[in-house]
Amino acid sequence: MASDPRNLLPLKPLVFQVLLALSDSPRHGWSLVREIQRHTGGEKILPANFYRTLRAMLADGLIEDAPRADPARRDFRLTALGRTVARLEAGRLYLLMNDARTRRLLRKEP
Amino acid sequence: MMDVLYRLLLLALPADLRRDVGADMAQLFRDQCDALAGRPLERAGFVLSAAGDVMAQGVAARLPRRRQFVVAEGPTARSLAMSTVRSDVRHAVRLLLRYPTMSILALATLALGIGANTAIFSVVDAVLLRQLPYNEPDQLVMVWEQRRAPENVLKNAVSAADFLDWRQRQEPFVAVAAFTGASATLTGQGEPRTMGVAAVSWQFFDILGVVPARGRAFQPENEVIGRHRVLIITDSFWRRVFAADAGVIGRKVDLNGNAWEIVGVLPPDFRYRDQSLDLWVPLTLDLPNEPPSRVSHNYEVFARMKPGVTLDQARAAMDRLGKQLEEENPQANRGHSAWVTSMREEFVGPVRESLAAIFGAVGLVLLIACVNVASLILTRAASRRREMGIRAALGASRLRLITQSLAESLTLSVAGGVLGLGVAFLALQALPLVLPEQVSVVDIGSLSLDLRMLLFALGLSLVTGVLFGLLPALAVSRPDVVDAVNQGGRGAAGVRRRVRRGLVIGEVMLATLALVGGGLVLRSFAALLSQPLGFAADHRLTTSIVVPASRYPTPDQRRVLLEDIEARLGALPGVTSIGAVNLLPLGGGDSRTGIGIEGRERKEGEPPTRMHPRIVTPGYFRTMGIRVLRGRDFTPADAAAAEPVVVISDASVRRYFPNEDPLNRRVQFGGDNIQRTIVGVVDDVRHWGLATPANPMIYTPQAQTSRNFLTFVLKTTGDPAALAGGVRAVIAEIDPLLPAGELRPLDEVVSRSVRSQRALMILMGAFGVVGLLLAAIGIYGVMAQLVAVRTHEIGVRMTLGARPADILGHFLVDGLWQTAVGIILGLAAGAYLMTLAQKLLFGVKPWDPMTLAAVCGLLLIASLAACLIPARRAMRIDPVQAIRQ
Repeated sequence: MASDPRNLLPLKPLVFQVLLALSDSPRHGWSLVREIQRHTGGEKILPANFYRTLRAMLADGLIEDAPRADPARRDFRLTALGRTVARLEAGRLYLLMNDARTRRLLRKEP
Repeated sequence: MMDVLYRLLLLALPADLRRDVGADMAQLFRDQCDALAGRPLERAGFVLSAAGDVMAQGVAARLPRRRQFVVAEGPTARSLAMSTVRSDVRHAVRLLLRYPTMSILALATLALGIGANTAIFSVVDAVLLRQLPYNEPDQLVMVWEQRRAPENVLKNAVSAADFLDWRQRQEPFVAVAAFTGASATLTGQGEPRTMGVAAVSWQFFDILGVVPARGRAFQPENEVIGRHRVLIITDSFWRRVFAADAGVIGRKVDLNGNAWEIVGVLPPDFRYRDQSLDLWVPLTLDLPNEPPSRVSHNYEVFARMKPGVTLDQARAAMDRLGKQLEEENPQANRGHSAWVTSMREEFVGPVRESLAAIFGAVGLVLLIACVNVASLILTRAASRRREMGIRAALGASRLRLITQSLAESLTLSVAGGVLGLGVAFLALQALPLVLPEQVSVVDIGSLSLDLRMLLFALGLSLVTGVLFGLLPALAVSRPDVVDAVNQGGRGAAGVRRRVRRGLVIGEVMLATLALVGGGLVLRSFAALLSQPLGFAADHRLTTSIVVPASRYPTPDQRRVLLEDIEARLGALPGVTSIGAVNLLPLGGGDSRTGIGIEGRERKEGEPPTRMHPRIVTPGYFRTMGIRVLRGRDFTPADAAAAEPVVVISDASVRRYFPNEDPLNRRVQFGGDNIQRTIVGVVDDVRHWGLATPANPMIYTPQAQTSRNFLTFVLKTTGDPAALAGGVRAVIAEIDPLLPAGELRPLDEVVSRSVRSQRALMILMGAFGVVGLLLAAIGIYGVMAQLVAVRTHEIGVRMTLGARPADILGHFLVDGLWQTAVGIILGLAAGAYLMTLAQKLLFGVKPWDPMTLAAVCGLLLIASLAACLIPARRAMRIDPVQAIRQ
């Protein structure tokens, strides 16, 4: 586990999307994919990459197993570290966005 | 199918990962595939990238884990990675050049496999994967007359009256149209000739969504006599006959002696099941003094479903309408209803199994090629164990060794793929020689290499590269450093020997599969050809004549002309006998009519008596070699004024006169009231093809039922094609405006009727043989390598007293038991797969002992031969030299 969460930044988009999708409630893998696709306009997700990312996030302590609602499915939820990292990443992106706005690359209200 | 493949691919992942989330991954893959159902190109892209993703993750999961989320690769890291890839590829190319024989063998094998697959894929893609080339093709259906028990016919041609009622009263469709094929004589455009003509009701093109490129489609009034002489021509006819004249609309064409006005030219990409139909005319069903018939069934009916209507709803609605019509017409429509099928199913369904089987067989060939190349690479890797060991000792990571090995196999496979595109290009040129010129709506001659095929070949190369590269890559990347450096590869590790045995068994199994398929199809074809035709096809020439009613208006004039032609053709030198029929067996086209038998009342629930009428001249049975079983043949005495007579076929006797003598019984055709006496019974003739049982037939003499259309059959002693000139000259002499139809030897007509089965046999057989050859080469390679690696051991054994015969026996037994295991697995899998494709077989069971035994024998002989050469080499090893090595 990383000593300073900042070392994990910047996150890969898929990692950040998983953290966001888990921020309100625990989910199992398939429901995570649905949630992510709902927010990204149905972008295709490659199964092997996705599940390997989940494993890596488990190993890094960003997510953990949640009590299973369905015994056949493995549920995941955010850890405290995961929530911190998501917040830090969001902050980082926010600063970048602000920068883009001040340089008039974006209109005030996107 | 995709699903199964994906699950197989998951084997590349470590077992724990697979156990944990394998099912979820498969589910996720399936769901996303389903979501792309209507977009085959995107779907193929997704499948390919998902496959690559599994492979990549399979490799990555086996490596020591790096920090995943840190962006460690700045521009320098990236350029470093690129230069590594470049150096890997360079290294791979150098290696390939260092072993040229092996590389050429591997490249040729791969090019053949990838090329053949790409060519067959182009057919599968065009026929099975693409939509029909019409507007919103999913809404297109065909409507048939359905007959309940006791007749049990699901799809019967439709009568004119039923079609008109359907068109007027149906609810589920936007529009309904009828189609029928006919032929007509074209004059005034070069030599007179007989052309295939399609007659369609006016909405036909609207239903398909086809808009003429020039002019207009048919209008409702074109179905009325007097306004019906309008014509739509195909683009190819427009170019051929009118040299793409822009002012062709409004021009008149002489058909059957009448002037028809061209109102439209179809677009160049218009496709129909029968591409030879160049002329499209309106169908006139509502004739002023002839009510539309409900008893003669001649039409195929097409329709477009209203938006939102499903096939099941359309079926239910048409079934209701069919039953209403049955109630209203209890005589003609008893037991009749309507049945709706999707147009795609009608057009593609009949060829789906054959294409899938061919695609499967060619896929097997590629798999065998992969196994071969994998074992070649493994062999070479064994001889490089020392090199790998040293590199590992110097600190090369496992990833480096794997990527380098993969770079080698991918370089090989991509080069094979590029060559394979060349093979595919050549194969595409050759395909029309084997396949029928048209499969479904696809013109085989027009297939060409396009982007989809390039993508397919590229994807195939990458997948094969990873497939045959991953196993050796994993095997070589785990060298026992000390052992490898010390021994330099002697005594090839037991693990790898087991891998190689597995490869032999797998290879034999795949070859068995391919051969079982090929063998069964071959046996089916032989069984098909041994079916009795009912007539003799050799030394006979056929030609069709259509007499235009415009210049020969009365039936008598037409009859006299046809009799004149028959007499003059019969007098040609070399012609020993002549006869004519209105519908030639295996020539396509048929009709059927209700028959009343004198003194017999039709009982309730009994199927009506129906026979297939043919009109023949007195010499027909003799010329065709159709045997007269009872009674007599027609003679010239059966003239127009003589007693009306008929001859029936054996099938008619079996079905309608099972226990009585049909001779001298009197029958009456539906629709006329002439009593005709049965004077003879002739042998059955296959009309619809060798696989279709003979129908009950009834023959009438041409003199008593004149038609304006006859096909003449001329029997000769010599080459029938040599008669063609004489036939043309005679017809031109009688009437220069009369076209001699296509002149075709009768045996060619027969062979055309089995061409799709022949194509299946040739392709499946060829892929079986290629599979066998590749497998034999593969077995040879593995056995030769085993002998080479065990030279030292053999030397020791011989010094200890083993005789050369023992050594020979040892290697033969070793090779043959692997073959035996492979054969048993392959036979079981092959026969099981063929039970799924039983539609392709004729007269043969999937478990046909002859075929299975022959396949066993062939493979045993091939593998015996492949083992014998290395085994003999082992036997001749000089023990002293071997030990000293």
